[in-house]
Amino acid sequence: MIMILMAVTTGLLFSLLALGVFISYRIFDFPDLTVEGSFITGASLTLVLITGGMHPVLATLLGTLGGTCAGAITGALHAAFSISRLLSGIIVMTALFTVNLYILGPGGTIIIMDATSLSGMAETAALSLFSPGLQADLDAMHLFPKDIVIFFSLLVIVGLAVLFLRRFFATHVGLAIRATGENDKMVRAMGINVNVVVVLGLALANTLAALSGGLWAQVLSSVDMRSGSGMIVTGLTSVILGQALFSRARFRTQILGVVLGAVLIRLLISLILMTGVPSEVDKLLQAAFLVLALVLPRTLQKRRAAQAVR
Amino acid sequence: MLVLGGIALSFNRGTNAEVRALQALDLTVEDGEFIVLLGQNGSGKSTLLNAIAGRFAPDAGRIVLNGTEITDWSEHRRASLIGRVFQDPFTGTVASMTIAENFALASKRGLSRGLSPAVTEPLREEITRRIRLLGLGLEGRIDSPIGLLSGGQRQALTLLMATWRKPDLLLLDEHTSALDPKSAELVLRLSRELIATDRITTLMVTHSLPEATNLGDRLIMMHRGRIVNDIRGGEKSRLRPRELAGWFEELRQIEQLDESAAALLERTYV
Repeated sequence: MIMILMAVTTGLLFSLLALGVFISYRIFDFPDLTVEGSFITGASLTLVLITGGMHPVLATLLGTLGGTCAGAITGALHAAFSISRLLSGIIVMTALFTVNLYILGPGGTIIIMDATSLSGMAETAALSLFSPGLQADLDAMHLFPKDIVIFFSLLVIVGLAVLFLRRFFATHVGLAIRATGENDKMVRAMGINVNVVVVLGLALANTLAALSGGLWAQVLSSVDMRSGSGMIVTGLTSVILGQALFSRARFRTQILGVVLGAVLIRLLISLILMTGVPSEVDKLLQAAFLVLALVLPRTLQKRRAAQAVR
Repeated sequence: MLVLGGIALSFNRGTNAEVRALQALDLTVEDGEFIVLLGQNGSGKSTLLNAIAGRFAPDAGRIVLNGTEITDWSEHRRASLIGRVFQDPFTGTVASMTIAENFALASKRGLSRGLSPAVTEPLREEITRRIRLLGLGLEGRIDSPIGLLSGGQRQALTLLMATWRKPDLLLLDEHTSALDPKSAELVLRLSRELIATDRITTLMVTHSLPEATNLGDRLIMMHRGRIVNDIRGGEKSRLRPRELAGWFEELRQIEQLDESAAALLERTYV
């Protein structure tokens, strides 16, 4: 029970990152490696600000802005200087390594007191909301009241993010972003500055990645700067799995598909880890899933096409 | 009014493969004029359109549209004044987006785009009304992806999108050449109607002789980056495809003569 709850919670945390990757990869066809850095930038800025005594909500918002800036720089490198998509991301990712180290201090890692972060607020909320009887019941199931509150809060946050993105991509600016990824020639003829759109889109994508990092670090009450590696794979796997689940769906349904993809991946990994596989293989599993997610739909499509011919 | 002064444009400049696509070209287009640009492949007609639209920057010359010099304007900035339809019917629309969403994009051509919902009820009504006028039976499908439509239908809608807000100048770049004959005929009829209704200043590129004779009120023939013929008024309306074909034959003969003369010179002196 606790394994499933933790898996879904982690999935929800990473779903924000996946939504960011959905914007850069799916809309712009931009495999944006910036997220490897901006996820940690969001996490470390948030925790350092909390350590400095800032209110966790404000700290999370400011931490998120770190990602916004990083994404905007990647977009600007590509748009203004025609540096390739992959390389622009690599450049900013590398630069962020130093930035993150500077934020976190020499050790490159930071641990905070639970009580000062959003985790602490969840704990307080759980204690005042849940009756002693309920708390005893949860205890019997080996569940912490705090984790229940975190889970539901994340449901709300991710739900709001999905709603926001659905609304945003139906506005004039949102339509311009979607159109740019698919047909930039038409977009220019409609008077849209493609460069501005790319900067905006990547800024938004990395805002979500940093928010994901900031919340994730607060749930763990710690951040280590190396834990950002492989984030692009986590995001891509969720996006591609989401696509596979909702291949023919409308754009707004695809957004929801990404969240489901992120949660499913974490559930799968948990199931595999439950069989006693050591937890270090997490990243290896993710890489393998990404290969599967990339290859399987194509193979199935080919087989289907072959059957149709017959 | 569009004024082009001394427009020159070369590709691969300074190399052996240099192509002088436009050579000191002058052209004045009056308000409401519908010009057909005719020429063979490589005559520079599409390059001219792209230079006006801002896709290619000319090496020399000025472009003035309705009194504003736009020579240094970027392509997207020029789009505030210019509507365009491309040769490829899939270029003018975003396939995965609905008809309504595509029109929402077009409704803001050259205007600032805010964070308000793009497809509003009044806009839907206006889209439905104007699509109904096309007579294609597409008014009930404005919420389906535009990619499901045929090339001809998409090109017809692209035309309506390009003229949704009346442009100061409409550029049609062989916009029927990739369509089947029936769709081409339909798109031409719609072009004629939309241009006439709003009296839109138009430049249309074609290499179809019947199109060149039947459409527009001025015909410009291009050859090797230059304007070689400029026919308007009564003379234009009396023009027949056979006559135009004769001119092309003449050009071809001159060219062959040129080449044989060049070969002779080369043999003698090199």
